[in-house]
Parts: sequence; structure tokens; C-alpha cells
Amino acid sequence: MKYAYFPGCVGQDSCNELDASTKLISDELGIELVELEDATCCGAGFVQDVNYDLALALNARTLALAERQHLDILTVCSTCQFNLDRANRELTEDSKKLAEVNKMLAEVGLRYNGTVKIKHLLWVLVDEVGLAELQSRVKVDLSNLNVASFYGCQLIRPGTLHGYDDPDRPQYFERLIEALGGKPVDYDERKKCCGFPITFVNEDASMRMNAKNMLAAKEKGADVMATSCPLCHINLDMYQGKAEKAAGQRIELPILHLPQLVGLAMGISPERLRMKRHIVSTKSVARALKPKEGTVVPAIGT
Amino acid sequence: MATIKVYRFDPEQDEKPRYEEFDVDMSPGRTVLNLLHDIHYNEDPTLSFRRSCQSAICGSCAMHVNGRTGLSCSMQAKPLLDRDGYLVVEPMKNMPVLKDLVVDMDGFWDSVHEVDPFLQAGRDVPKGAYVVPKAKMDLLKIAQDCIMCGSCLSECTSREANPDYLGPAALAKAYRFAADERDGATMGRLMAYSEANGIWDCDTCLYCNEVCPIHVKPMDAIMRMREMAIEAGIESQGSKHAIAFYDTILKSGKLNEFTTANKSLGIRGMLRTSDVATKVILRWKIPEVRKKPIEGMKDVEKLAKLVERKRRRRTQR
Repeated sequence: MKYAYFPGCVGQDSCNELDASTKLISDELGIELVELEDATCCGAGFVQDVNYDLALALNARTLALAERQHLDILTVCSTCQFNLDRANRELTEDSKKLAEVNKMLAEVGLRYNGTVKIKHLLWVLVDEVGLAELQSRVKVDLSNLNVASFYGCQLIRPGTLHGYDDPDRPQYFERLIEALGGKPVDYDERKKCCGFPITFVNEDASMRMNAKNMLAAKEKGADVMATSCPLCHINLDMYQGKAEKAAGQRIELPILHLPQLVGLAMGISPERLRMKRHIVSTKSVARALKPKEGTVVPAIGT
Repeated sequence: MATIKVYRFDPEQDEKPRYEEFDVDMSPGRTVLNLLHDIHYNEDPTLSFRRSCQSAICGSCAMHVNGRTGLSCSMQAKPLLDRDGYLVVEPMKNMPVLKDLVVDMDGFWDSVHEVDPFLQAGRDVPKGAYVVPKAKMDLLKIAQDCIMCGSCLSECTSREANPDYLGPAALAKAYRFAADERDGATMGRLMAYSEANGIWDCDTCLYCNEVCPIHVKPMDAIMRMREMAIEAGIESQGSKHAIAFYDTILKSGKLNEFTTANKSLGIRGMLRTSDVATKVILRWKIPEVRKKPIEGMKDVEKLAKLVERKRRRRTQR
């Protein structure tokens, strides 16, 4: 398994624990990551808001960079996944547009032929590493933890774009949590919007969404939430205090990035997964972990 | 025969909603609406729901079925039952229930009326037919087929958190006129839609695009209006944020979170979020203030220039 790794801007900056934990678990699981260091931002919808054509050209450049290395792209962010995938779909389905973009790319010495696939870490873990393999790598018992997933809108919708999960009842995360030994929390809000895209425009509305999602998870017994999108993580973790104010009640729900959850189960220490960087304390998660029977823990560094 | 669970509520009589089970013929090919008809005609004539054409064109029978809003006349019952092991029919969300599966759509229509959904005078009108080039009409494709069923509003996550938000159907309709070459009020429209509760309040959750039974793309329409508004130089909180984001990409190829937050929130906004900022500093979760530009910045600049040239040629045409 070898991928052109697209870490995303937030995943390497304010949420750099996401990048660090992705690299740690990939190393352990034999996923070789060739980082696309020279790639631009995916646009996150905002570059598209200002100049759609430029966002498309920049994403075509990223796709061409991966294609040059004969690699598919691995993302760790629902927003990156959507924007790259959407650009890819647009270019591969519209030969006229692809030709137009290639004319521009030619001026920077690149060309895109439409051969690259873009996959989120969640899908790669479930479909390619495989649940059985993941299960066999578990060294820490997560059975004390009710884990609520939070997908991030753009990882499940539009269903016709991604073609992995059923957007009405996504299951990839739940299957992964189960394989890791945790108990998935069944709650509808896991499909909803975290609110982050409008935090800068209408913070009140954003915080109402944010609080509602987390409280719904807690009501169903969630001890911890894990997300596949660092932008969701910003709202869920960094802005949780504001969500509490909006809701008029405490939430105190630790929020993990997807690879941190996987890393914990594999026996990687919370320190190495940089869980101390989170705004909401993750100590309750660390306390709930216990060595799995018959394994020597911690196997992978402390 | 199989069991269907139906939401029942009469606000004039019931304290709270309940679900009632009915055993119905769920042979392959039968729609959810067929089942509701069976119940209405054979078991309980008081069950209320809207429907008309039964051909997925009138937009009357939208309901929330097994986790998705759509037209009950075009939803096959058996596959849903087979997939989920149950069949639950509920009224649309984000609109108050009048009775059973019938919701009050006044809020939906108020929003639609708020965007002035008709062509405005103001352009020079040619004598005879106003012929619009096909390419210009094609721009409206993503919005013009709307049948006003309300499915998108029912699932809209932004409307759920903010009932004043205009919502996807109204904004798709807004785009249908803002992007129409014959309309004489494009600038005024874009200014009005850029205000609070308009185009910049969409959280891009994609639900509207996903559930629309006839493949209208309200979110895409909203995104296009954002671009049109920015091109027209209309300032708003949303455009400020998008432009701040965009500028950092042109500077370093990657997002500079620090500059973007700083520019889009301003000092007052930063103070409002000072409690978040304090925690961020305490945990040393601060984004880089200066972002190192990617090696291929020359590519970015070149592509930006080429796209700009293409744009200029397009507007001249």
C-alpha cells in the first residue's frame, strides 16, 4: 500500500496531531506515505467561492503531481476528500474541461490524464488494511469506551460522488470502531454538519449545531467522539466551550482524530499521538484504556 | 404483508406524537405512497398526508422515510424495508406539523417569496422574442427544475440551527433569476442575498444536493452566487472570510489559518473569541503565523494568471 499523502493545511497546522498520528499508524500498518509537499490547498470551498476555475486548476495540478508518481491520493480530511474528488470527477467526466485545464497545466510542465483515485484514510483502513488485520493489531482494550463517530458532511455526501458509504446510514466508522474493540454509538447526528463552515459568519448558529450534535451523542452514552475531519475537530474540540455556552450546559466530550483512536487501540501512547494538544481534556479516555488480555503493553513506545 | 410505522400527531387533540403500526401489502413495486393510500382507504381515513400526481412531478408528497426526505410516490417500500429491516414514515423536518404527515409550509413559501422569484425589469428588452443563447440558459440547469417539494429544506442543517436562514429551495430559486441574462436586478439581488441569513449562511453540508428528488443542486447554486457576489465586489462577512482564505493561498499555496482568522474576524471578532484563543495559546495549538510558501509557487502564480486571462475573455464576450 503506497499513497501520495495529502495531509491538508489544517491537519499540518493547528491540528498537526492529525498528521503526526496518521504517520504513526501508517508506519505500523505498512501504509507507505509519499507526502505531496508541493501540493496546494484543496480550496476547502472558499477558494471555490472566490474563483472556482482557479480552484479547479490548482486541484488538477495536485492530481497531476500524484499521477506523475503513479500513485493514488490519501486524504485525512473530509473537506480535502470532497474538493479533490469533485475536481477529479469534473475533469474525468468532461473531456473538454480536462483539455482546457491541461492547456494551462502544460504551461507549468504538467499534464493530467485522469487516472488518480482519491481515498480517505477511513476507507483505506476498512477496505485495504482490512478489519481482520486491524483487529489482530489491537493491543489495548477499548471495550470500556462508547465511541461516537463524526464523519463530516463531505465524506458521505454526495453519495454518488464517493460511492463508499450509504449517506443515509454510514457504517465505515462504526465497523472500524467495532474492529478496534470499542462500542460504536448509534446516533443520527453523526451524519450532520459540525457547523465549522459558518463559524466565522454566524457563530451562534454554528454553536447551536455543534452543541446539538455532541449532546445527542452523549445522550446515547458516548464517552468519546472520533472524527474523520480536522475542520470538524476544530469546532468540536476548540469551540466546545462556546458550544457549552450556547447550550447552557456542560458537554465535556473528548474529541479524537480518527488515526488517534486507531493508534490508541494499537498501543501507541496518548503522548505520541499528541493528545495533550487538544483543548478538551482527553484524560478520561486514557484512563479507560486497559491492556488487552494476553498482550504486552505498551508495545509501541511511551 | 409487512409492517409500516407511521407518525401520528394531531396538535389539537394529542399531547405528543406517537407512531402507529399498520400491516400492509409491501409487494415489490409498491411505493410508500401506495401504502399510505391503503391505510387511508381501508383502515384509517383520518390518516392525513398530502399527495396529488403520483408521478414525482407535483412535489406534494415529500416525507421523511427511513432517514431521508423525498417524494413518497417515488420511494419503493420493499427495498427500504429490506435494507433497514423497518419502514418508518415521518413528516418533513424543519417545518411545524399540522397533522400526521402534513406540515405547515408557510415558512418555506415565505423564504421563497423573500428572494423575489420572478424576472425584474431593468434591461433593454429587444423587440420581439428575447432570445437567450443556449450557453447562458444552460447556467440555470442546476436550479430551474425545482418542484418546490420542500425535501431540501427538511434536511437543511443550517435552517435547523437558524430558522431565519433562507434555505436551499429559496436560494436555488434566487440563483435561477440572478443568473438569468434577462433579469434586470442582478446586482440588487446579489446584495440582498449577501446579507445575514442568505448565501453565506449555507454550511455546505450537501444535504440539499443529496436529497433533491429531481437532482436540482441548490448548494451549487448558492456557491455560484457567492462567486458572482464577490466578482461584483459586494462585501459581507462571508465574502471577507472567503477572500481572506483565498489571499493566503495565492501567497503561500496553503491556507494560513492565522491570517485568515485575523482578517475575516477583525479585532472585534478576535476579542469575541478570546476565550477560545486563550485556551489555544495555553495548549500551544497556535497555527503558524508565517506560512512557508510551497516550492511550486511559480506554478500557482502562473495558473492564477491564465485563469484570470480566461475570465477576462469570457466577460468581454
